[in-house]
Amino acid sequence: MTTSPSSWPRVRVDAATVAVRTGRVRKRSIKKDSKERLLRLALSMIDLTTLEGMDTPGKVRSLCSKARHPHPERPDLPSTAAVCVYPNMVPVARSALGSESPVKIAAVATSFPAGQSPLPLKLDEVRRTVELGADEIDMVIDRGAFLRGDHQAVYDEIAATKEACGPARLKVILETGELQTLDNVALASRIAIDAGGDFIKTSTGKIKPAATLDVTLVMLEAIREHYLRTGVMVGMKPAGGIRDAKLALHYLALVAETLGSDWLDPHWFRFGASSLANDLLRQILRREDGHYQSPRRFSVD
Amino acid sequence: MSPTEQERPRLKIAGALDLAPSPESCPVGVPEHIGHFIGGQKVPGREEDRYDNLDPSTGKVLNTVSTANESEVDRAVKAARAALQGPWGKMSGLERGKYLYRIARRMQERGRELAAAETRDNGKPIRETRDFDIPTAAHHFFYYAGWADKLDYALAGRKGRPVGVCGQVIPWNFPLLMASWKLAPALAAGNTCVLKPSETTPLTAALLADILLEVDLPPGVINFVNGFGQTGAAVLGHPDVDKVAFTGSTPVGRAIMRSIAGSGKSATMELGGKGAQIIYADAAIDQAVEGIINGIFFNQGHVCCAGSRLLVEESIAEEVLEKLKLRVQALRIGAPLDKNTDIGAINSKKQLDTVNRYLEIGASEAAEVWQGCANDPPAEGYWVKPTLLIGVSQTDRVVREEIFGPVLSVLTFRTPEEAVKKANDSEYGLACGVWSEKTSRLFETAHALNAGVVWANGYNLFDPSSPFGGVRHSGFGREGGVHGLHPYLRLEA
Amino acid sequence: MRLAVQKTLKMYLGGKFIRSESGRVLPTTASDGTLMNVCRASRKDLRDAVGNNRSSLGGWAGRTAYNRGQILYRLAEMLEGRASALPIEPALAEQAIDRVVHHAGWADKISATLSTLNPVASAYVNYSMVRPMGVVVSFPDPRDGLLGLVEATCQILVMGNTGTLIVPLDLAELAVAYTEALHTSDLPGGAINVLTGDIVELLPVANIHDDIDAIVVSGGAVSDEQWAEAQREGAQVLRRMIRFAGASVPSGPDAFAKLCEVKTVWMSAGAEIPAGGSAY
Repeated sequence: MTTSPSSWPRVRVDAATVAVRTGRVRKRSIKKDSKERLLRLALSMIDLTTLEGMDTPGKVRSLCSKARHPHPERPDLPSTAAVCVYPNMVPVARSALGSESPVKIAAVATSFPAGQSPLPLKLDEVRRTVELGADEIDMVIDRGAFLRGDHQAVYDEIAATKEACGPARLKVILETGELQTLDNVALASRIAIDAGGDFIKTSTGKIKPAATLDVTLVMLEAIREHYLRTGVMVGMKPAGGIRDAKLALHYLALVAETLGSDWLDPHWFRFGASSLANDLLRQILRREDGHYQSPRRFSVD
Repeated sequence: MSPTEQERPRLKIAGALDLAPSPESCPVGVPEHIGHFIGGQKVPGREEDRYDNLDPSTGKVLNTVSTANESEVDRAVKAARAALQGPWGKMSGLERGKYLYRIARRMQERGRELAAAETRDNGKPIRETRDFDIPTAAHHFFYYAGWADKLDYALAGRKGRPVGVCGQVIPWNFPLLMASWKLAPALAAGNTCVLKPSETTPLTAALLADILLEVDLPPGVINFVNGFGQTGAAVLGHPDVDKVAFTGSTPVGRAIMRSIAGSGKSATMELGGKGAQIIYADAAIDQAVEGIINGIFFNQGHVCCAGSRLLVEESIAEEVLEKLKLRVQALRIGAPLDKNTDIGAINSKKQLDTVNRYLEIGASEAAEVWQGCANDPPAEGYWVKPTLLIGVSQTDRVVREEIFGPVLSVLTFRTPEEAVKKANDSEYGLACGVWSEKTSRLFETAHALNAGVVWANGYNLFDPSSPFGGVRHSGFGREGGVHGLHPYLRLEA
Repeated sequence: MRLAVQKTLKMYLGGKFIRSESGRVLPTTASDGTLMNVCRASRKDLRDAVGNNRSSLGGWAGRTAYNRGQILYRLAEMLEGRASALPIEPALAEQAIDRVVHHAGWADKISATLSTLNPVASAYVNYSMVRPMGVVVSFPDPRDGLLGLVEATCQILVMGNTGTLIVPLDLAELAVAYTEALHTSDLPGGAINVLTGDIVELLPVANIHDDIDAIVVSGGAVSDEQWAEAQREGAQVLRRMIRFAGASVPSGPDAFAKLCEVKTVWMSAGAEIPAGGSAY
């Protein structure tokens, strides 16, 4: 808890070779049964998200219904892993999903997306959000502190948030689009993991670029390093910008080749996405119906 | 306290990504028989001395191939001479260049088919032929096309003229790419060529002959003769050949140099190697591991510049090896035409025997022989799983001799001086790699390595604009870039 | 009448004037008619000379090009000061001195004419630079006299190579006068060694010695048959075998290019790899 900033060694990443590696993963050809299986898996890994100022209870109820039954005509399809909403909407989601729902409720807290509030306010927000019924908290790190080199502040804030979460799982959003370099991503990942994050997550979705395969690989490698050293698994959540099924499958290939089969599980890997679900559905039904469906066939969450 | 070996956390990489077969579907017209291409004519070649060309991924016959004897080689050289004295020699540089551009374009347009053909003939993964061999081959023609009308700018103060008829012999590891490395600069400089592909990989040259006909290249500018070493010797030894170029093993290179001694022929030799990859403790380790993979398992290690010696700083050796083993377990071995295959077939039974012989030697020299892969290789065909020979020393044969297979010898060092000394302790000097995030160390090491090519934070990268070639017993002369043009030019005042 | 002091013409190795380890000395007549003794280098002398060149290589190649150029210019200064003592026509001495001045200026420019920055289609900075080939054994054409000696010397030194000149015995007086200038030119010991001896005896030794990087023969220093045999034997060690026409025209970039190795370095520089441009 009182690790000093100098205790995080600088991590160096060669960006050109990261691109080479993810370029190879992008060439993975995922067809037939493997595609079917991974499409369903990807669907089950989605944190179906709405994070808009204009969100309404009606929209959140509809989102929950979609999370529970992504395509009502096909009850055999898996639910998504979670819905992801603002704290205000947690009670709406809880009442829509019920207490026994396999679909988790994730809420963004800590003054999402900028995180520019005093720490006590953020911790209070976290505690209240958990009390409202959130299973998972998606926090943002203090990028300002990180970029000015105050790594200890970043660590302390994550650790405090983790404590405030109580039983809820904590996802730590690095906002990699603001960290900019892969060196920073690698270091921030390690700080977040050391401070007790259950998941590390790329982005809020409010800043571009959001998730990329390159950034995700660097974060997966941080998770791998931690696991090999301690035996403790940490989850990964790329969020934002993952809209089509093919890209989602390549994310899964990257996870499989970097962390292995244990992480091919909604408990350890999530997609933060809204429109991805429909493209996955389209691909799944296409495989079964033999032709593509119009996007209109699926509800817009 | 570090966990003991038994309770060490394990990642389940091998088999984690279960992929259905995904074969490249592009049809390849594999001709039943491959003859020669002489004076713009595809000729079947003599009935005698034909041999079976095998598919290395199955060991089954792909087609039959003719063997050119001295008189057929002589006809090819005469055709090349006639083209040199005829239309090709009289053509302006710009017009010559336009032919090269045409060839590049047709290679791109027929890229999928060429990739599939190369993969069937050679056994290397379609991923590599599709993404590397064929596009880079076309790129070579595209690059050198632009030199054809600029030869007087190749070397300050001198005028560039063709050398004459070029005899070229290429290996089986990158068949079409090696042909392009040889042909494109030769043609750009105004020469004509007689080229012999390797006996185990004649297919893409035969398809290139079709392309040359499609683009109306004047007859005799490029000629292909097939056959074994004797045919190659006839090409290079022909008295009317002015320049010889060879890519292959160092022993054969020596024999060729002996055979042309006193003939006045100029030569470029691209021979063997035993490349070192130096990983410093301050390297970007996860990417360095990727570099090691690209360095030794690219093309099953059938690469003259393969990074077959890993020199890793002692303090990070354990971490690098752990990560390397994990990465290797994601490599998929098997059907070369499958788009997901990372490790294809060993090119021939003969090469398989060579690699296996070194694996036996390695078993006695190394402290640990480790093999890994995502899956088991097929029962038929010629396969070697990616192999690490851990705990070997400078004097071991697997550290000194070129294996030309997916076999990496692992050594450690403690200081930069030791790293460079060990890397340079080789009769070869083709290529090396170095990984560090400290710029000064990167430059210092890169410049101290005794090699023709050094990759700093990378390995096995190639580009037509970048000169490639070795020092010492790895040969001489360069291919690629303006330096690759020089050997094909006679410079006048 | 005073008894003249007879001079023994020593060879120049590692910055020292030495006799042949074999003790072989031949009497010969100097240009002024006096009798002199000439050392005839043995095979072992040649091996010692190239071994010494090898250990001196790092020191010389490691100098800055500016420093190499200054030392070559210093050689011209030393020759100028000794011109009257050289056993040749003044015009020939002047021609040779001017040649050294010419080459001194190449030392810090040749790399700029032979190096390239290559525009590879991937996220790397890629450059090709010229590096010394290493240890060179050079047989200047005796007919070129002092001009041949300085041309051979500069061919070796401009790029940072070290080497040994093999000079026939009948040129020994000139060669020794020349080495005295070399000796006072601040050139580090072992950068250039000069042996006097029999080419027929020494060429075959050089041919098969694996710790020599290149053999240079100029003009008529060896016969075509000797050259063919040298190439045949040199093939065993993949020797760079270089034959120049003679010293009448100064070596330019194409000649220097034969005495260097092109080394290409790829430095990773950035994240984006354009499609289709990279190996993997």
